[in-house]
Parts: sequence; C-alpha cells; structure tokens
Amino acid sequence: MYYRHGDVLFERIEVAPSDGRRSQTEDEKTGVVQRGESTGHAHIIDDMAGIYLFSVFSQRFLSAGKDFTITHEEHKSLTIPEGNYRIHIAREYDYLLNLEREIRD
Amino acid sequence: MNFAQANSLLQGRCYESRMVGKYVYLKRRNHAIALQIHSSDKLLFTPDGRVILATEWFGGLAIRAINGFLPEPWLVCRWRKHTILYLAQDGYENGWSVDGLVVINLDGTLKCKGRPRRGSLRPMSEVQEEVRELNRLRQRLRQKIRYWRHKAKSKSPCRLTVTSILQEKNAQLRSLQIQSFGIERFFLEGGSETLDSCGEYVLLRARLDERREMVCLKMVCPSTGAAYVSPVQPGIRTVDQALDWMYQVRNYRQNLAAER
Repeated sequence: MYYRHGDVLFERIEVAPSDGRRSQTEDEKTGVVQRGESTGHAHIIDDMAGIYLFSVFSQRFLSAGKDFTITHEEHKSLTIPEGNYRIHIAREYDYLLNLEREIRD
Repeated sequence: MNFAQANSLLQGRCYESRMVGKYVYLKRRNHAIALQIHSSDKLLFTPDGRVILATEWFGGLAIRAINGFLPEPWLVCRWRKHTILYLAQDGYENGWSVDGLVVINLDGTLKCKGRPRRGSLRPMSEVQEEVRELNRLRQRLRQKIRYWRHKAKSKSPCRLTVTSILQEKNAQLRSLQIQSFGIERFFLEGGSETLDSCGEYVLLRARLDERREMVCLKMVCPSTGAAYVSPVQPGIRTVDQALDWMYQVRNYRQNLAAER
C-alpha cells in the first residue's frame, strides 16, 4: 500500500528494521521527512508523538503508533494510518551527467 | 622481395609453404606466391613482377612484416587510420593513401586492382587536407559543446526555440540545448512524441538520434493542478514502468491508496 505526498512515497511494510543500525538526524527527530534545497519547503509530520522516523544506512523508515498527518507548503495535507513505512524519495534521470538522482525541489 | 626471390625460398620440401618469420609465411597461390601473416594474405607476388598489396591490416607486426617483404624502395605505414604506401626516399608525407587491393607495377606505378576498382588510391596531400578539415569541424563542435554545456549548467537565458533545437543534427548538442532551454519547457511546448498515457500521466519522448532519446513523465500535481515533467531513464516505454522506476517500487498505480 502506497501513500504519496509530492515527491515522497510511503510504502507500508509489515515490520520495520529493529536492529542497532538505526540512526536519526536532527531533521528526522523534528519530523522533517524531506527538505527542498532551493525553495526551503519541506514535508513535515505535524505531531511527532508516538512516531519514530529513522534511517538504516541510506534507507529511511517510519514507525507510527497512531495516524499522522504530513504537510507541505505546496501540497495539501495527507493523513496516513498508523503502521510501519519505508520512505521512498522520487528520483529523476539527469541527462547531462547520465545518472539518476533524487528529485530536489 | 620480388617473385623470383620468393620462388627461390619455396623449394624442396618447402615448395608449397615456408615460415619466414613469426606468424609470417610464404605460400603458393596458383601461379603466384602470397605473403601470409597469421591467416590472411597481405602481399601477392605475381610471376610478371607485379606485387599486390592488401590493405586490411592495422598492427605493428603486419607493418614490420610487409615492410620486410615489399619490393624496395616501397614502404608502408599507418597515419590517422589511413594506410600509407610510400617511397622510402620521399617520406610518407609524399606517399599515397591506399585502400583495398593495390597493385605495384614493375615500373613503379600504382593502380587499384579490379574493374570496377576494388579500392582507392589517393595522394597524401589530399588526405592531409581532408584530415585538417575534419579537425577544424571537430574543434568547432567541441567549442559548441563546451558553450552549451556551460549554458545548460548555469541555466542562463538563451534564444532557443523548440524548432531550432529539433533542427540541430548533433545528438549531444541537442541534448545540451534541451537542458539549457529547460527539459520541462521543451516537453510541455510540444517538442516530443507521446509514448504512453494513462489518466493524468503522459510518457513523452524526444528523439536525439537513432539510438539516443530523452524520456520524461508528465504528471499533474493533485494538490496544485500544475503540470510538470520529470526525466526518467531512457528505455522506459510505459507510464507504469516510469512510475515504478521513479519511486523504486512495484505496481505503483495498483497499490496507491492516496496521493496529495
């Protein structure tokens, strides 16, 4: 089951990784899922109580004990049901460098 | 070497074939004698004194072997992907660029073998002028590519139109011009063909040449209603493939619960 909010896609998974490789950045602690580079806009989770956003190496996950709402300056808010999610950031192909990269707005 | 000398080497038990160097053999071919390097004939000595040179060779071994067996004062060399046949005293700059089968007559004149001709024989001056012209074109193209790469990176304004971009023949230049013009603008202004469409999603393609292409997925933001295009990997042919590639998932559209 997928939930898309702009360039961010939440893929529902059964179990989130639970080993010691989890890490959290400052943005993740404050609920910033993805920050735009040029506009400064960001996909932000409104209320982080009961929600754990973390990374395992380069892959990002979210464990939500309750429904949560994600907001962005340009997109409408999206409410996603509780559960475990893998977060995917949309990618695009750079024809100048001939490589793929994450979309940055 | 000439036919008589080659014939004198092919005597006795070596009448049909004789090894004369590493991977180099003299072999009888009907009435003539061939100099074979590896498994192909490079020189053919005929009883009337002519020498036929086959020019499909590139390596140093072939050059050394052929030079060792060509009748004096003829020599061969390679220059800018051309095979040059020249007189030792004149230097390769005054030689001939040869291609196919070339006959060296007994009186020192050259001609292409066969009728119609199965090769070409051109003076070096002509080839050098051609190479100089080619270098000038390459230099100009390199300058253009450098210019447009700078434009594409800096995203500085340019006086391009979709038509002028499509008229550009060089694929690399066209790709850079599309990026300077703006991929999104180019695709939205109709510089492309539709590969697939599904609901609000449209997969667009701009052909750069026979092999290269630029593929983009046109999407409409469900929140703002704005259309935008996102470049996807070349080779993608359907909207579903594009969406799965973009989000690195499987069956995106079938499993989508909500989007904003």
